[in-house]
Amino acid sequence: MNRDEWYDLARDLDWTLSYVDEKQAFPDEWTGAGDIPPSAWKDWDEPFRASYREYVRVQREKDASAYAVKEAFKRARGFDRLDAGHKAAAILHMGAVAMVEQMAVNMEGRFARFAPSPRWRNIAVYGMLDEIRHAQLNLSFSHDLLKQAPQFDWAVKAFHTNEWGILAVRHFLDDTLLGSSCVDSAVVTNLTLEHGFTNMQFVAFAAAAMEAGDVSFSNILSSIQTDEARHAQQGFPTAAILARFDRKRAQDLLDASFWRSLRLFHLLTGPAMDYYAPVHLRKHSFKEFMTEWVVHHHLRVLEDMGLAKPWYWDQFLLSLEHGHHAAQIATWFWRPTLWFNPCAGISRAEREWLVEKYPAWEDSWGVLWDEIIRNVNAGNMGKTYPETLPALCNLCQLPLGTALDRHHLQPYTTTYGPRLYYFCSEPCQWIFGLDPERYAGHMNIVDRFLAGQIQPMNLEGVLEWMGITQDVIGNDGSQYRWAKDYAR
Amino acid sequence: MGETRKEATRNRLRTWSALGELGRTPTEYEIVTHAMNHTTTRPLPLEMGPDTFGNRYLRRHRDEAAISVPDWNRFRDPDEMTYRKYNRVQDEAETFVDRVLDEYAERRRTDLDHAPEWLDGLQAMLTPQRFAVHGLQMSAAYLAQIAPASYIGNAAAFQAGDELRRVQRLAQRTLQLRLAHPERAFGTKDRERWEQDRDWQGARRAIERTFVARDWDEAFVALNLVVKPAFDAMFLASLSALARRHDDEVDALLLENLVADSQRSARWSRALARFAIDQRPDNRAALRLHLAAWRPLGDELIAGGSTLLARFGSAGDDGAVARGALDALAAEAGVG
Amino acid sequence: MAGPQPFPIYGRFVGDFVPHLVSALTTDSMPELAEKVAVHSVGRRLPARPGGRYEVLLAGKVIPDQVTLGELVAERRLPPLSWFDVRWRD
Repeated sequence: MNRDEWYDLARDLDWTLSYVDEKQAFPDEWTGAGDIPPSAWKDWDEPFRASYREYVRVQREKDASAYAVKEAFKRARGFDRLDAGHKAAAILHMGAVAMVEQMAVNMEGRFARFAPSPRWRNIAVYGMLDEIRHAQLNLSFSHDLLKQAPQFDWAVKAFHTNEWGILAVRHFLDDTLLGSSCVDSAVVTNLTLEHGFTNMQFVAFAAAAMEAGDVSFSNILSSIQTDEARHAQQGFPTAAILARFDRKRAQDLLDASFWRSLRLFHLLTGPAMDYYAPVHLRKHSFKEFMTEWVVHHHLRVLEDMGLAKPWYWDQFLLSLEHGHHAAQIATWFWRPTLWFNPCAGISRAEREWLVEKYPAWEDSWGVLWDEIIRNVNAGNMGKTYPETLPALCNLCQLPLGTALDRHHLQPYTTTYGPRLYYFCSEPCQWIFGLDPERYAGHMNIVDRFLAGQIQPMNLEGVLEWMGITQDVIGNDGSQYRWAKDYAR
Repeated sequence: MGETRKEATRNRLRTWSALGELGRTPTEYEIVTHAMNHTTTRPLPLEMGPDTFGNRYLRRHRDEAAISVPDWNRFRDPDEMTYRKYNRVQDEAETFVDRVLDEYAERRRTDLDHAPEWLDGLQAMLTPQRFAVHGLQMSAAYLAQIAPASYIGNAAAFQAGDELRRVQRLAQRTLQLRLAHPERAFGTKDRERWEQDRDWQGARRAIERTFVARDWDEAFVALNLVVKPAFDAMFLASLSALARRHDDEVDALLLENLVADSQRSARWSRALARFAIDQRPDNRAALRLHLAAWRPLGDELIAGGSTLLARFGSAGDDGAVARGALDALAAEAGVG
Repeated sequence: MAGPQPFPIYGRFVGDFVPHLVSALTTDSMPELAEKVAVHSVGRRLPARPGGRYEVLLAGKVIPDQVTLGELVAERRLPPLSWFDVRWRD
């Protein structure tokens, strides 16, 4: 039997509800169809078809292979021998991503229940299963490594804490994965974040992990990525229908999701690529990677939809020069608030690489690192640590100034109701303005601190509130060895 | 600030700190399922404003549900289903079904042998199920997203997978029957039957009503203790037996095989209800209230289904058997 | 006049990449405020200048030394977390 011959019989299963009200069964807050007419959804069609029968067979084989590699690596105790930079990247990844995979199960469940097309609802069931796979692979990998690195505990623990990076991830992803309509989620998560950003990043990260000698992690990432195309595809037909019937909504959604994904990537991917990855193994810089893969993909999507480039494109390009360098120095400096050990990534050799890839690096960032280096070599370690919280964006939750560099640092504020809101950038401010009611009730960490929610009101209190314990508290990944390059 | 980590005094972690003091090695199932819902352990589920739709919805329909326990993460699915295990189990089940369809329908072409009365029966009872099961699939997915723990949500997600499986197998049978009997145009009138056939309306009403059961505990009782077991009793178990009486081994074997998926759902559902009652005896009253509200819908589903089966030669006691199955499930769940 | 009240501000030392949360007091003079802001940047990510002095700017205008934060707050109805810049006085 040819799958194409029975496929429609398995997916064209809408009927007219008689015993419940349509709007009650498909509330717009969950469906998100808005003004798009119901008939528009008849055209929804997934690019990749799959039968359940093929699914369970193929996935069973994939897992047999992925778990076997993981077992072999575990027995060989390979993780011990890996580079500090790779360890940092792996622990960061597991803490930030394992729970997100499980959250995606929830989102796919939303599609499977509330999507306005039965074809879409069906595909989402595979999506639910895929994301369970990803969560469970990540957890299995991390659990194996607990004895060698207790920081892998954060694969489960992270999202139960108030660690600031995790709160930043949650502000975006609790919204789009757990608190948004199907249509919005499909465009923001599937199309932009998954297909546009993480899909690319997993491939790059898998290659980097392989280069670093972490066969198991590389294998898991690659294996996960083979599932991505199948469920990330939900974004395309949805966005196409949206663009046809509500261009402004499509444009705004794509522009907002691109910027928010970028900010997440500045934090989670930029430092890993440009500072943690061993310098002699780096195939491309973060900027090169983003330009070649992410930008290219996003521009093609916009073109296909007949939409324009984001209005903030020039700011985006400038942000590619700086955003992740800002994230690097911020996370390194505030390293006790991390559950992993960040690498400074500024030995002479690494610095040369940075300067070659980013001509503005010395003036924008090198100057700041030089003072840190002086303090390390003089033994003034206290000065290499912070004594207060940085100012934070009320949208992306990241420190003000970290979308660009110190020369572009300026206040962006909005007064809404009784409150004053700060933003790291014009795009973040704009996103807030698109739907202030969605964001205005939220308190960032500074707001919570000032409201007395963090006690005692000092850095020890902050660390405890963030769930940072002595066995995970972050410190320099290479015990400051890089500072010797600069010692007289 | 500025201290180095005390390597020597660090406690070696044997398992997730979230599992606490288990006093034993965790199972693979626990390792990959435990505490994987971060929205249930804090007063504000989502990192959004407190009055945003998502937060209000979860607080109202999940966190303020009538049933509560100290920790839903203590629940365990008796099948300890993980993704790995799910695909292993279902790949084997699908292999069996492949062989049945290949052997009987493709090779022996047994569909050509059926009496017209049975072909009428298949058009009335088998192929229109696709719509009903799509509805069951949707509600299983709802349960997956509203469940208060990953131990529960994952089980519901696998249940949605099972329904997708069933729909596709029914679609394949629809195609096979259409090819064997082109003049009957199998599948083309299924939506009409589902929407209009008097004997399908009990099922349709019950399934549609599950679409507006928002509170997670009500959604659970409605779908997993009433509507799905009622539907499966009629349209898997009883229909399978009826198919066999009509010498339709293909459909008998297929539906029988699908019963295993249904039984798996019943197992974790029973266990969940008992868990809720063990943890807090007051939960029993709340569960029974939901059951009382939904059982009549289940009975109507059974009545319609039983009339339908009787039109095609069933002994007429399918209804009693199905109602008995519902009673037994409720009793075993501690809510009878 | 009431005793010193805490008043949180965002303080950015010009040249650093990030402003900080600074717990100032209404009785702080501008040099005192400047010190509280500068301590998070000068000597940490920007070099100190022996003998150097600071000045404080609000909305781009230098504030005279003797003005207190409390006076500024009252006069301009400043909300908490108002943004202050601190830089080297040339």
